Amino acid sequence: MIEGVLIATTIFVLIVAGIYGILVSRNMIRLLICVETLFNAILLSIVAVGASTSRLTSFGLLGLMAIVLTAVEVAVLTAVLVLLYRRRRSLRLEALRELKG
Amino acid sequence: MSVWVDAAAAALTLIAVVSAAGIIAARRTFYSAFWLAGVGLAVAGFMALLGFTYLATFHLIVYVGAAASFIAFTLLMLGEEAEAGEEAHDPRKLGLAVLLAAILWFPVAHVVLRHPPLPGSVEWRNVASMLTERLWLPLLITVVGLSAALVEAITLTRGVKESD
Repeated sequence: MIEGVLIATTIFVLIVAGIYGILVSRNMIRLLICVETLFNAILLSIVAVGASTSRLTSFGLLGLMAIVLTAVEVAVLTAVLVLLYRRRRSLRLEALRELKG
Repeated sequence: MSVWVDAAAAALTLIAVVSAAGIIAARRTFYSAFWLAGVGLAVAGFMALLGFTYLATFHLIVYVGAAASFIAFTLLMLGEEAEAGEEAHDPRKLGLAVLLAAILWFPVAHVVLRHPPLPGSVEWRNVASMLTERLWLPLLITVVGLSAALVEAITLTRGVKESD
């Protein structure tokens, strides 16, 4: 029971930290880090619900796919950020507004 | 045994909370990447406690070892100028974050608190057979999509290098 409460508390704190970080960040890499924090909360939710409902196989598979997809997403996003920095010499969010057509 | 499990869960919760606070409060973005690794470590620990040992190892290797390190190395490569941009801390935004988090968290908490998670063991043979027999088409689409995304990332970077 205590474990369930601790896991639920951890998920809540990670979601709060992720959302607050997204709202206050002005640097794109820090924004990415906060999105990754949210991902960790979601991953923990998947695993906890899987253990609670005794569907370990299905939710284990879902967790595995989520980890792989997120790793690739980080790779692609950092490549895009490196390119953006080379062009704009800045990773501030205001620089994105200048990209409007 | 149960006391040790509860103690381990409490320690992991503490690590996750401190790391999450570190991500927000860190002055330099590089330190936020370091704290992200701490969050990944705590989540991997929870996965191991719940019986997803392979998933925990995978998470440590792929996420903490690769993704978080990737972000840190990118920051080192770009230099201090890339870290510019101070955060606009605001108590109202924290209140909004708590409200949104409560909305998102409620369905998960409803399941987890009503039916406390029981540590089990995953039969990875079942996972493998499910992947290859029932879910082969989604697996194929995922592999093709991931490969395309990686090739695109490499092409994007090489394209700018050649134009420089």
